[in-house]
Amino acid sequence: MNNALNRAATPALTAAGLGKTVSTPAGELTLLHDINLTVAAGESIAIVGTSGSGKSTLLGLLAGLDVPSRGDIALDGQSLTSLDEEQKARLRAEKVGFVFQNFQLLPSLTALENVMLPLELRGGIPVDECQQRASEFLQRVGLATRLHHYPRTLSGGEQQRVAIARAFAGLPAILFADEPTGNLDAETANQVVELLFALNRNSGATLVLVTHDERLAARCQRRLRMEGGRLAEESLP
Amino acid sequence: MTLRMPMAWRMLGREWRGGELGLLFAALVLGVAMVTGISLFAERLQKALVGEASSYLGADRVLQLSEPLAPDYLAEASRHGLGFARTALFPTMVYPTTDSSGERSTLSALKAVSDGYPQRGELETRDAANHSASVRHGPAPGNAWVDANILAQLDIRLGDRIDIGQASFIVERVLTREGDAGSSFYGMGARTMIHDGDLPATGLVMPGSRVEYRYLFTGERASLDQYFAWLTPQLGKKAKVISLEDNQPGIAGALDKAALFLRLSGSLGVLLAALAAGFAAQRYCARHTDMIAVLKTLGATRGQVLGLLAGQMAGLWLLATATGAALGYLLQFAFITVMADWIPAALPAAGPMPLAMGAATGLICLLCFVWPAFWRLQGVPPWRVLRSDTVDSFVYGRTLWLALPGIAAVLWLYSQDAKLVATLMAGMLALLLPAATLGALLLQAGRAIGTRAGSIWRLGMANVLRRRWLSLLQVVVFGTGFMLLAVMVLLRGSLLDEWRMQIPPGAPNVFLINIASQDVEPLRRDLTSIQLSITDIYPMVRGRLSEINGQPATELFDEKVSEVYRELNLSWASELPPENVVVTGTWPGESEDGLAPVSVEQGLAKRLKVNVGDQLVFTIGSARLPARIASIRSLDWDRMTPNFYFLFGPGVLESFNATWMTSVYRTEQQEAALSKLLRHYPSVTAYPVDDLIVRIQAIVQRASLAVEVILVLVLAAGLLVLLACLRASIDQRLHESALLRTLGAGRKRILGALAVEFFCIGLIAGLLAACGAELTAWILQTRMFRMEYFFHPEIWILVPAATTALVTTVGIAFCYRTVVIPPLSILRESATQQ
Repeated sequence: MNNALNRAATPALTAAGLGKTVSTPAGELTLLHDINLTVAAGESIAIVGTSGSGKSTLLGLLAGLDVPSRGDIALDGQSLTSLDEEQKARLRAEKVGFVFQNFQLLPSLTALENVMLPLELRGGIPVDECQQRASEFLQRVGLATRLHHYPRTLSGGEQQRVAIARAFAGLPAILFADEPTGNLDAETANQVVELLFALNRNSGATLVLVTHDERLAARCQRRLRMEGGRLAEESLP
Repeated sequence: MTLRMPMAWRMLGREWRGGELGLLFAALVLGVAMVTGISLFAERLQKALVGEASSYLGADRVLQLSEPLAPDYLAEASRHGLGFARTALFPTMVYPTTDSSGERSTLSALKAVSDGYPQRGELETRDAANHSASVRHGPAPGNAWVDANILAQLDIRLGDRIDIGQASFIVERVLTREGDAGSSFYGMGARTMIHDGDLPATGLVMPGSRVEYRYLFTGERASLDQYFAWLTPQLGKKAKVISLEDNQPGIAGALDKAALFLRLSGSLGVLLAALAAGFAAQRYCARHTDMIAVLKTLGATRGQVLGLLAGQMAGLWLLATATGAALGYLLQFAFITVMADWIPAALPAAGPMPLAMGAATGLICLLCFVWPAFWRLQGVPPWRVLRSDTVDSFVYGRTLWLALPGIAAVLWLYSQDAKLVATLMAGMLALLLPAATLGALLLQAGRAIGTRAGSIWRLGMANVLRRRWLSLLQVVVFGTGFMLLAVMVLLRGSLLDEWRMQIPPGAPNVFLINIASQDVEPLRRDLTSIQLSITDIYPMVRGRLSEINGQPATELFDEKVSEVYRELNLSWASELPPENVVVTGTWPGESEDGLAPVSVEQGLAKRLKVNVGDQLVFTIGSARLPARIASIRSLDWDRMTPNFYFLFGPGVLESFNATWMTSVYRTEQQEAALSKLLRHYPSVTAYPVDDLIVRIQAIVQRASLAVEVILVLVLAAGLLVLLACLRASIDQRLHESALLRTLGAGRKRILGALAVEFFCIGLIAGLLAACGAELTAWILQTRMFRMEYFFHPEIWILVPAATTALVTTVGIAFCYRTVVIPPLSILRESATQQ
């Protein structure tokens, strides 16, 4: 309960004056222009936009995976610009979960081992406990019988469910999802979305979701649109 | 927060189960096994040989020379508190006194020993009552001790008498073991031992006779050092000092060569294994780029990633070392079994060194070939997870140059021979530059051909071009690998040939030496009368080459040019002997400037860097003989006829004391007749080489078997390199093939394109390998093994043909699955990995 209060008091994510410029053979190219954003704890937001509008670049910056050219980001109250790579990695290990379009499971690890990974990386958790927690989450996503399967033997939907279990197993404060249904057929996509939101409700995590799927975006509390590297808030329908 | 070792090892276990580590592990194990196995065998053999050396020597230090030492020198030895004894050794015929016909004679290695012999070790003997006794003295004057073979060959018993030269002896005991027996040319015959004091009575020792005198010294090391420091400068180069360290029995030379060759081929194998490990690491890294990005996204710090990789590497090292050492342990038994007849029965245990070397090899392979790729891997940025662009698998290959010092380290650790390392490294570097240039040319040519050629060819060339860095790397690696293999095969052939040269078929099998001048004509007549085919009889005068163009020869050359440090047989002939060809100059005729004209053998002239017209001075006894080179001569060393480095014309050497030599071919039936005939020439020694031929043949055969064991391992390492290269690109190939098939390309077209690609890579690699092999073989043969160099036209055809066939066959076989697996499952799987 306290945790929830604290979260309510501190925004889960803020971005101020955020910009990203890269050098290309044709000269400087600005991918993101002056992005300002605040996401409250427990809130779910969708960033929508066409291909090349800068959605994924923004997600990478917000999650601390890439470094902005300008501006600042605060994740759970912690400014990312003041942190080096190591500190950012530690922050991700403790507070951030990810779901990717291409699932990004490690092919040489079983489903169970993939889900154990963030717990093991966090350190200090006995292997038995990691294993137990990972299998619980796999159970929750309906893969209790697939614990020891390698990703290549799982269907796309199953792989994404393993990825969701992995994202939530670490009990993250904030979850980033990059086109989580992009590689799935409509029916499987629906199941995966249901699962994602159900787990998110239970965990109370903040959800930042990048998608071009309007129906998926509509399930979020807020919707932001990226266009030509600029962000505009859209009112909910 | 750091990832602890157990986590790294758990990951290692998971990777293992996932099949990611097999090739890397196999390469490491093979490298460690080869180093451990060969080192274990070589060290145990070395220990055994050194252990036997002191008893073989019969002393603490030995002085060997071809004439007796003046009494003053020995008096000085006594003043230094040294004990000493003398042995005089030469081959001669022995006869039972009762046999007047001379049919029952045999060649024996006669050893006359002074009081005080042996200085170290003991003689084991058996008397008439069959009682064995270990004694520390030689026979008393008038007695002879003989090897049991002599009794059998002469059909006599202990107590009977034998004749040696003009003296007669009672055969008192059988010599069952003699420590310092087998250490020289003369050591090959059965022994007869007599007392030193009886030697003059035999009449066998004349001026110019080939007798090997050995002075056996014992005493404090410091006193020995002091005495020898005083003595050797006075004796100059005619004396040879043998200490415990450098005394090795005769057969050891051949074994030593075999061990050197094993080490050499082993180092090539290790290099290939290391290359395979490096390649396997490339693929490992290319496949794990995304994994590292994911790990970082999930919160792994750079330190954790490094820890994880280092931990995995440590685990891999331990496992590979343990497995490799176990295999190496078995491997040494393979060598011991193969060489069993020629090595001491009980080899001493090896120290920890071979194991340490195996472990170090594994570590160096990992640090130099694998770690650079791992190091780059830890720098993968986390944002990669959001971009689906594929990584250029060669990005890690660019770290391969870091492996060069590693290669040198492995080679040095293994061979302890800086020259060998430098030669091999130079050969490899010499290959890298043309390989890179040729590779670039190939790309150009490929572009040009690709636009004009048919679609299969175009597709194949496009494959080569698209993976240009990988293609180039493959060309260089295959080229290097096959170069090493070709060098090994070439050297193996050359070494075996060199060994075989000592034993040409149908060659004379008995040398007759020590023929006194007055016996030459009667002997020639008698030999002809028993229908023995003889070659010409040559005189021999023992002399030393002391000056070349006015400069002392020993100042011009170090001891590697041994011909200026020892006595040589000088000879003369009125005309050019058969099988000899004058290369430059003319056959020695009349002297024009007071300098004796001489003809020099081509190989020696090259080593001495002399040519026609150069002046030489020979020292014969105390006389100086100035000479001028009249011609350079080539001759056929393969024929077991008397051959001479220096041949004078008539009228130069006749005034010096000479003995004569010839060689004959006698059949088994003629053996008795020859023995009977030689009875009339007591000073003449018949030296049959049949036994030697058989022995050397057997050793060569065994040694080449041992070498074949290693050749199989080196081939396995080469195959690992090939597979590692192919695996490095298989994911990309699968993906491309799936796409092409989706677009409607047929199986034939895709396989055809693969064939074109592998054919090109194989061919270019083969040409490079032939080029590098020829160069390396030239350097190794001329600089290291001191053999004559031949051009090898066969490797320019066989190596490219073999590499092209192998690379194409294995390549297509390995990549066949790219046209068999349904495209959808490939595309799905590669989607999950992006």
